[in-house]
Amino acid sequence: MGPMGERVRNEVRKQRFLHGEMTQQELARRVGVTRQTIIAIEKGKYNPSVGLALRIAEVFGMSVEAVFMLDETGEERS
Amino acid sequence: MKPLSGRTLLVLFAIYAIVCVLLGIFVHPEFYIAIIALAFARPILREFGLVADRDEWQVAVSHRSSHVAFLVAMGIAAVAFLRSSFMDEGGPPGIVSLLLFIPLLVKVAAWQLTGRGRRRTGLVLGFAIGGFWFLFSALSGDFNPQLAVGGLPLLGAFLALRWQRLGAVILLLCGAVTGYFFVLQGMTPPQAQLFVGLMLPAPLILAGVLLMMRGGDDRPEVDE
Repeated sequence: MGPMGERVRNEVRKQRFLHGEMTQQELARRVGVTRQTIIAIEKGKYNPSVGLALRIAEVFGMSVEAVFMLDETGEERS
Repeated sequence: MKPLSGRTLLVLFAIYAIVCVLLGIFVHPEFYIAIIALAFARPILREFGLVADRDEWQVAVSHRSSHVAFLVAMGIAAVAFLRSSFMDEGGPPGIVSLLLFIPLLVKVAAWQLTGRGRRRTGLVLGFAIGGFWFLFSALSGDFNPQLAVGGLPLLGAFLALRWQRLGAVILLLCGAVTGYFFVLQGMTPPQAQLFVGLMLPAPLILAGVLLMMRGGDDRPEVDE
């Protein structure tokens, strides 16, 4: 897949559980979006903006690349 | 403008509903139907950033749904246009042409304006409308005054390449003159007036206004 439809996978769901089983609602509140947005991100239906990705990574105390990464397998398929 | 809180919105919606009911009771029962608009009010207000609960995913979803609605509307208008062109005597009604061509024109202009900046959009509009009208006039037969009408915006657009303000003034004048002759003094059916007005003077005036403004050209920076 080309740059337009580049697949990005994320570990938001995994990190929520590693951080005291944080709820989607709690994460949403801390980064200032709705729970639906967190659900969409976790399901891979929506790639967040750089700003939101940075805020999510900040909540987990990690770098943004550790939470969001290019799906290499998706790249090879193209 | 500061986004409206949920509570303010609720109060505004309640006032609107009460006004609709009162108008329905005292003026005409059809005002009750206006209450339906409340169902679409929140998403539309959110689209314009007027509701506090807006976030980027909601905006993305809203844009996507608007795009789907646009494509469906264009599809329906195209089918109606083609059906009328082939089957109805006298061709498609003005309203069908309006619904098909105006949104497409707006889309192209908005795309240009967002992606390329004011100057480029003004030039594209000037060349496109002037060129189209010039070609249309030239193909319709011998020399006629309409040829000049098409030639002037084209000249304005050419001049704007070097002298932006001068070209802008010519385009504005062309827009004003065509608006006067083709819309105010021209066709009598309101739909035809609206169609011609939106296809000819409006883009020329918009081109002139855009070129009048200094700067605003989003040309890519030179890669160093």
